Amino acid sequence: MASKKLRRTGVSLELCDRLKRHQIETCQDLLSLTPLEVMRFSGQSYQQALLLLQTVSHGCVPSMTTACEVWKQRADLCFSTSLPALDRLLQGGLPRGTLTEVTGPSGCGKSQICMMLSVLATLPKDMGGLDCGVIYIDTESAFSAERLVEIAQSRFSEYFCIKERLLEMAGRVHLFRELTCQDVLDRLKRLDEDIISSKAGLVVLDSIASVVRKEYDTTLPGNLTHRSNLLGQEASTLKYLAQAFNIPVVLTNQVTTRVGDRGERGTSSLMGAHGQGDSGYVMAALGNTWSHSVNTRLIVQYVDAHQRQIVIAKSPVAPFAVLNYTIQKEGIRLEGNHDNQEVVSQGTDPGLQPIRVRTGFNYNLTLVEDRQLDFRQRKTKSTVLPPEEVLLQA
Amino acid sequence: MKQWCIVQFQNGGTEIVPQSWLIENKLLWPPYPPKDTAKIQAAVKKYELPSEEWLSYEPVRHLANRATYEEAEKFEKRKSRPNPIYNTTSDTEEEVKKRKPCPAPRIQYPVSNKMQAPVQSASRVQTFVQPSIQILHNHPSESSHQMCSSSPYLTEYSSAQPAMYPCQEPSSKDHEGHRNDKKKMQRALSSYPLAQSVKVKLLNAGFHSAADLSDLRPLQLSKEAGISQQEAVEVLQAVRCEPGQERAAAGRLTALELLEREHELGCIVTFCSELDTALGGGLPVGKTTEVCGAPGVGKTQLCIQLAVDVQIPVCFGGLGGQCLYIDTEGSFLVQRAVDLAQAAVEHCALLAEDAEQREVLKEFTVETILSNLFLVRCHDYVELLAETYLLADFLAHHPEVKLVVIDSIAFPFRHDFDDLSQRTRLLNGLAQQLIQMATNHNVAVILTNQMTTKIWKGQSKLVPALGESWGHAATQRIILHWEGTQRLASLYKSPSQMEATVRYQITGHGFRDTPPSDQPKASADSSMIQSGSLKKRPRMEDDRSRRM
Repeated sequence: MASKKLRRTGVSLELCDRLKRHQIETCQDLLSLTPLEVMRFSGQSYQQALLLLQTVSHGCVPSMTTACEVWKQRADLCFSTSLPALDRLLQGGLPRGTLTEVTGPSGCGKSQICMMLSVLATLPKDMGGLDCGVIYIDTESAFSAERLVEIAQSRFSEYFCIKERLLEMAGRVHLFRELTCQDVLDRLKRLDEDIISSKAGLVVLDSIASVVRKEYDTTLPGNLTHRSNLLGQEASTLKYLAQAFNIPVVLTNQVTTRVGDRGERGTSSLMGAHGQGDSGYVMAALGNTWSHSVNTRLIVQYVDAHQRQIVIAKSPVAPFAVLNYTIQKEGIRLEGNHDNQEVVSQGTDPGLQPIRVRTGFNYNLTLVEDRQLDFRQRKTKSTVLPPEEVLLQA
Repeated sequence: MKQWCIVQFQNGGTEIVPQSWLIENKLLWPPYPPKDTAKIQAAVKKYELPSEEWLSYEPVRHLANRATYEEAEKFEKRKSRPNPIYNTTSDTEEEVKKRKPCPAPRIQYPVSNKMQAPVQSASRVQTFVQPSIQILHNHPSESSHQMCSSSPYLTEYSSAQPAMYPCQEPSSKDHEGHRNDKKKMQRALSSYPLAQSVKVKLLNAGFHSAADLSDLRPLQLSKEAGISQQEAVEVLQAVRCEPGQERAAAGRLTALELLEREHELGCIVTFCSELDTALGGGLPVGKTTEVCGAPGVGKTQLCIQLAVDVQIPVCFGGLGGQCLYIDTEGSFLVQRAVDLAQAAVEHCALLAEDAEQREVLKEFTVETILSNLFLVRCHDYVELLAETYLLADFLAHHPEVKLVVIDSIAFPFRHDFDDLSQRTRLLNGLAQQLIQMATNHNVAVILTNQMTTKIWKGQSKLVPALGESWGHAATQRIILHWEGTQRLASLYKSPSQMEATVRYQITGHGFRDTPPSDQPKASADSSMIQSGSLKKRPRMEDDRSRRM
């Protein structure tokens, strides 16, 4: 709406022409000015300038609703994850119209979750799906169609025993491979067309971090600002799309190792609790500013070779909670969760929440990042294997 | 011998007429339709002689004579004020209206009020539209007939013979007002209700009319006239117009009045008694409060909590207001609002003691809470700015709204800006508007802000985003942060309260005190809500375990 032309907001033609001489053509141009500047450019009195600003504001202001009206349409507020415990905590599933981030160490199952959600979205409504297409933006080349089919077949063996259904499902997942920051941003800017044409009801971006971290060396001055600008733009575009189409958006993020200054932040107690060794601890990548942008943050982490955990680290509706799961043929399976045990109210800053990586694997700061990329490439060839086996082979 | 006269009308407009049309200060005018200027002009040029059915106008002033029409025209150097003759017919209404919005002067000179002297009827002052001094600043390119150019006669006229024309038939309102003003300026000081001794001193010092005092400051006057400062202020106030006085009085407020007003406005409780105590009873209405905090620490939770709490009925100690929630991040989830509303309703149900409260409770349901919560989703800073420009209107139409939440102010302003100085300017303007709104409409305004990592002397630390200057924007500033697994709220900036840090937690029911086990006893002043939340806590604990 910001790019709406002044002509269409009910401003007189004469005034439009006058403003145009100062390169003021859209609502954005005009509203970015202070009333004094508007006075000068339009040659009007203060009162008239205020009136003009109000007229233009009327032209581009978003409509107002009440919470009650939103609540009346609560049937489509959520997208079920088909994991009952998680759905219960999130009050129905992933909230639509917002960004949900899945973050975790490599090979822990982030892409698995994304693929599983893609299958779910294509299911008919009576099976808990959305009965619509999926836009899957893959920046790591980690998507495997084979694995998608496998998840579908083993998770809903009855439904997908008919081959046509399987083909239809696969046909509804639209994959975009974007391998540079600019490509991703361009894709996101034009995504509304794709969403409409493919009738998409779910957008997956796997992962937001990889391209950004590849291209920006944050040790160089200025890069950090540029990076957060880019991420901010991506976040605001995605939020807009999520809101406009009322669809869930799922992003994945990577992890980073934080060294040193924990003492000053007063979080040193956490380290002992998780025993991450002495060289710092692992947490979600992309920094604090990005953490503000996501509405829900799920962290996946290792317990041991087979057992993993989903942590609800940030959510407007759910308390801090931990759920155990394993990765099976059919995707994610929650298990070993006794009643009330999964809830640990001891959450901390989702941006700093320590993430448990594989123990027994001798990792250090620089290696992790390099290897992550390594694994991704290997994984594409052999995705049928559960990722931890890939990891062992490596 | 034919002579053409230049005559001036009461409103300053001039016209060339044959001498035979003029009898002393009475002008005869052909009965042609006023719009038919060509015919009238022809009549003038032809030197038509007046007949019985001609109209007459008086008084007019004879300015000069010329031998030919052309010479007269040269003298007149048209066109000053419109001829009032064109105004007196039936279609004048339109004509006057068309002319009235004289192009506004480029700069509004604050002259008008000062120049006016008190008049008998206040409405006269109101009708006064464009004082001549402003008109002089009109854009010269505008069509001359539609506006009032600087007629040299005008000033000469009114100052030399101020009382020459009693206002019998006001031709147009602004004209009359104008003359009134001039007249007021000429009013003799002796006619003002002033002490005789003061009048004498003023006269002795050479002050005769109101105009002589127009530019003086009280101190100057007291020196020059030898009167006390007190007297000087009284004199100037008497001479100045009433509206000015009223305005000065409206802008002023004693601390006592302010205190009463603030008590009247009350506070919005947060349901965390410790935080309420630190804030002096809750979130103050009529002020802006900024809530900064790390991601996921509970900024949005606090906002939703307050959006529900502002609606607590008056008989339960709440404000019974409505809320406008401007969401820029898309993090307002209605499911959560329902949770909190449900909890608040149950909480009040526990407190209900007398019949009145029970009656009110029937109205206080989750549904009414939700329908009193107005939502706007802004996608970028332009929409946010547009919304704030319209906020005043919205608040005027919804006087019940007591709380405006902007969650968050930071997100739309943290990208898309290459020019940081522009961002600062927009933010400052926004802050100013919000403060104005908070004061004028008596609403509480909450803004949430993000935290950013700042590297300082080799260490990174979290500071509120949007830069240093934004720190001045809000009246109060609360920072929410983590200490290990504990959530803390720090009052960081407040004009009236001590800096303080308190603990809180986010439960299934919303923003609450930490469990009483490890909490020092709360001070017992804001009795009801506090006792309520104390009552509440055990239940809340049960419920949380049940929910999970």
